[in-house]
Amino acid sequence: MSLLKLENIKKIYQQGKIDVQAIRGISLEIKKSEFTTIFGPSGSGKTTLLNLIGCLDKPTSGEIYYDGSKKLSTLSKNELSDFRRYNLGFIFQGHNLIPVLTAFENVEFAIRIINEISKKERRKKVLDILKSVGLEGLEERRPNELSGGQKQRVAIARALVKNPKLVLADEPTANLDSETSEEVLDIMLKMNQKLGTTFIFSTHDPQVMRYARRLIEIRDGKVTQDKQGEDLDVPH
Amino acid sequence: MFLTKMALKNLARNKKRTIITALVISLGIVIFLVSDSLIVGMEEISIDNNINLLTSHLQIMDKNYWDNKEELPLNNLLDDNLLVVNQIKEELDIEKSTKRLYFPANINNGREEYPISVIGVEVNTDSEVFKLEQYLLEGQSLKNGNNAVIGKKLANLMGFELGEYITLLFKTKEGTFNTIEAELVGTLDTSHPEINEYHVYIPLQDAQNALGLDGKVSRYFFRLEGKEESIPVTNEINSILNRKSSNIKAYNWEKLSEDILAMTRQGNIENLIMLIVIIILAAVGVINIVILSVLERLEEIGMMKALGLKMREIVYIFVIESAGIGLLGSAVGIIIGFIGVYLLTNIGIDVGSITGGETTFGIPIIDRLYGGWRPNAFIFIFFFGIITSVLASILPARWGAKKDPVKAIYHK
Ligand SMILES: Nc1ncnc2c1ncn2[C@@H]1O[C@H](COP(=O)(O)OP(=O)(O)O)[C@@H](O)[C@H]1O
Ligand SMILES: [Mg+2]
Repeated sequence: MSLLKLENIKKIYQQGKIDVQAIRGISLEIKKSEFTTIFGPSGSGKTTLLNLIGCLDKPTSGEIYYDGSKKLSTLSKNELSDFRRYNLGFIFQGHNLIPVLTAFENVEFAIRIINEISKKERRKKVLDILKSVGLEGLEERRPNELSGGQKQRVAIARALVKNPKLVLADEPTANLDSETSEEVLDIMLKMNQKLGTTFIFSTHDPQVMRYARRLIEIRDGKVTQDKQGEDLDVPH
Repeated sequence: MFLTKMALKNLARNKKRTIITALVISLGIVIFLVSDSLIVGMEEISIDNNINLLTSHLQIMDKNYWDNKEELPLNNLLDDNLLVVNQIKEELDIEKSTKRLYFPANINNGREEYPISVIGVEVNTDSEVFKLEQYLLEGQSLKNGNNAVIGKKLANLMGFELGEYITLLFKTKEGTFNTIEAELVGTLDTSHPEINEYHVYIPLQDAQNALGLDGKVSRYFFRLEGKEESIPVTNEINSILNRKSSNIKAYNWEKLSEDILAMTRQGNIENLIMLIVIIILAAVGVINIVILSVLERLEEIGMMKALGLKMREIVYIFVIESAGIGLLGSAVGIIIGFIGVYLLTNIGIDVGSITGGETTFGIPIIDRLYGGWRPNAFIFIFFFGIITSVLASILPARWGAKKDPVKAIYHK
């Protein structure tokens, strides 16, 4: 079932008098529960693409559909905020967390602003998800008392705690050493399998490619490869 | 509630900056409270002086006299042994009263003339109501017989020495000119410009004789236990007077002190300036701190937007932070202001040495100026500090909340 559909997306940045074509016509479809890797060198347009999918930015042309019919271009700023609040989870490279809040509170933030469940349920949910990313016992730590990998796990927990339709992770391992990167990716994969959450994450690190279940390679704002399953030449 | 808590936690992020901004607000608040207290103190002194020297606590006079009282007319006068006055004093248990006859005249020293007001006072009762004697500079107070007391400034102006005779030239009620020659027995230094320069006090009897108004006075004056009694007592007197359906009416000191009330208004202008100073201090401090915070937290703002916070929720966070700073600054300002006002009201400041004993802002002050309490000023300025901080934060907070999330997150 299609969760997300991009139709001939283009994004042009105006940089002074020069137009930078960051995305030059990308069409693709993402199905529910897919674990997709966007791979490409630095400057290829990965961040731009994820920001467009995450409605943090608007395409210059083309249309993005969610759930087959919802057109993002028709939503107002406030509607887009709500859409993100209820449906999307984000994991960024760094500076992910709110420094004055504890790990628990950072995760709670995501469902606090949704405000659909009781305090007790909320607490249970947050503790459960922190446990499943392996942070049991560190709930009361502030971000500056956590390692890089632990912070990224808090960010994963925060992205997942609201059971979003889609989690977008822009180079989530870029600031981590390879061992910690693998830990983080293992957790993402585990959560994808356990909860069926759809993930799209980007990387420029070939090491990380072996985690891909579907691999979309982009260069100069265009899709150059889109493989999955048997076609993937990387060993699992 | 969650965002509120988070905003308040943010206050501890840069403690030094928070405290400095709050203290700037406190400073403004202290300045306001101290200056307000001084204004209240000055008002009190000048009101008391006015009561002691000019108006007394309350007066009764003919309604028609009231309308023209500035001209010191010689019609619509009262009998100087009004029965109703005795009745009032008995019924309301008032002991101290006196009566005066006012008329306009020119004072003459043989070379030049100067327009003044003559006040015929009942020598043995006037000091029960008025406190002129305390301000006697030279000589002695008025006695019966052909004598006069005038202000120091008028004496200097006309070159009168004690023991010399002053000449007063005036029109009687019939319109004929008459003069009084009286020995100058005393001069007053009240630092009240009007008394110093324009008043000549003579015995009531002499005034009545010279004007051909035997048994007449302009007004009766009463001294009560305290000035706060004047309104209820005035009302009671008026109800007694109404019963008699007479043309006489009582007026309290507030009604009689329009110039003092005008000065209060001037005091309010000074307060207004203080308020503007506080607005500027608080606004500059708060705008500065919000801008710095926004710049520091660009990524955080972007991330919160990615999580789905709307612009107004981000604005709310910064506004609450500013409200917290305003609250802190106001609370500290109120506490320090309270101590300052306490010292001012109990110890006062030595104005005599500052001004050399001269009149201060047209307000008669003896030597020390004491502050006064106005609890409303504390309540008002407390909320004022918070509200100003909140309002000042809105624009810079909107500026921060408008930042494009993508640029905010990847601004490096
Ligand atoms: N805000 C921007 N303004 C101008 N050019 C931009 C902006 N963001 C990205 N670009 C350009 O768009 C292209 C794609 O960038 P980006 O999406 O960040 O690539 P990646 O994330 O794959 O490194 C690059 O050439 C980059 O310089
Ligand atoms: Mg990037």
